[in-house]
Amino acid sequence: MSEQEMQDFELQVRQTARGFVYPPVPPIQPIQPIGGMDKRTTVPLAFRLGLALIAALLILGAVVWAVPAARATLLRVLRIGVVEIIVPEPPRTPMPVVSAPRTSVRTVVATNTIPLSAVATRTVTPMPQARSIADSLDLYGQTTLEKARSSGIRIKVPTALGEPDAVYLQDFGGKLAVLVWFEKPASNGVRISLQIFTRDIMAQKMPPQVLVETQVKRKPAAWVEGAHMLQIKNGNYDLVQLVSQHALIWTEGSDTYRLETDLPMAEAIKIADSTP
Amino acid sequence: MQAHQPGVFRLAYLMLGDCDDAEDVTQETFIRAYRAIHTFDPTREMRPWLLSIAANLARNRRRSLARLWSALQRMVFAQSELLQSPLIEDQAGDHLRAERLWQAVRRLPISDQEIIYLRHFLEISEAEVSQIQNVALGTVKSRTHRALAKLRNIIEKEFPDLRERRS
Repeated sequence: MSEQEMQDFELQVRQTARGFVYPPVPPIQPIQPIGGMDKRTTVPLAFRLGLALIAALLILGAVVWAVPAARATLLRVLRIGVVEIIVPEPPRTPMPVVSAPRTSVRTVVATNTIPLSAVATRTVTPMPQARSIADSLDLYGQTTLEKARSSGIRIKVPTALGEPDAVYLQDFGGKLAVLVWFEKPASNGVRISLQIFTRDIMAQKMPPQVLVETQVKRKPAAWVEGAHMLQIKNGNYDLVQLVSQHALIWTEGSDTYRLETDLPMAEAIKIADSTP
Repeated sequence: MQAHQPGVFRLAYLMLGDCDDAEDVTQETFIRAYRAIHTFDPTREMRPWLLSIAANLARNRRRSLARLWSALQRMVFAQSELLQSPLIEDQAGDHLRAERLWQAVRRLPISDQEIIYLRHFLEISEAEVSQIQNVALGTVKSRTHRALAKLRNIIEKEFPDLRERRS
């Protein structure tokens, strides 16, 4: 193409383009004046630092929450009377229900027991084998219901269970009464045990496999399932025990009741509700 | 600055072919210009600076997947219009010829389109285009020549209705 032809073509393109119909120019949103744009530099330094601090805390919180190990350390304490149940908050996954065989028979073996006085020390190594709390107490301090009541501890026996087969009174610096109902007809297995903690004792349950917040006589109660650590202590005593059975915890006045059983939760609540 | 809105919008519209996209680019152009006003040399013309921002934004916008889809749609639309060209030719006025020319320009690479929009649609001087594209004046001339040669080739092959001179 010659230079002249190119110039002609360019002229033709320009003339044709002049006929182009453009859409109307839309109204453009008013833009903040330049002085207004500079306002960001007039924001007080303290305010900006505060915002930065809040943002940093939010980011830190998000990071901590995103790390499972860190998240697991964020614990929640559910308190029922003197019993504290320590659970991760929130549960990472729904905790599975552990079904316990109702026909299991527990045998108290005298040779495999440790007298309570032997563990009355500030530091006790957790026992590796899960047992019922009645097992670990070794039936030390056996007494009668009347004598236990006369010691000053208020003992209410659930009517659904009737009179206990055995009563034990322990002293952890505060009173701990243990009522035991044996398997029938055999009398060498513990069917149900009921521990009554006075206010001078502190008990802690380490993360159970299942925790259900429920009610007994319209008051807060907790149902735990699966093996869990139970720590009973006051200023002088510290007993740590791995407990295998389910437990229902509720309060009666200033005392705390802990029903340990293989029964399901609904039946345990019925028993607890029958407490006068 | 507001006086340059039509030019900015028209360049964006030519490059993008969509009114809403062009409006967005125009808005963004002025926002960026206000934010960067302290970098602008007041001894220079403002229009090249604004058109430079707009061209950059429009180029970036074309790269998005959404723009690719729109381009495909326009290609299909253009093909259907091409089939109807005799009817258009019979009824067309200057604005329809201009519309056909635009369709032809859109067949070019974006860099060639841009220089034709600036030089022939918006009728901006070579000197100003050199500022907008930040290239030497000679480069503008050579780019313009190359783009026009390509455009003529496209018109010869695909837009024969535009070959006739209408004066």
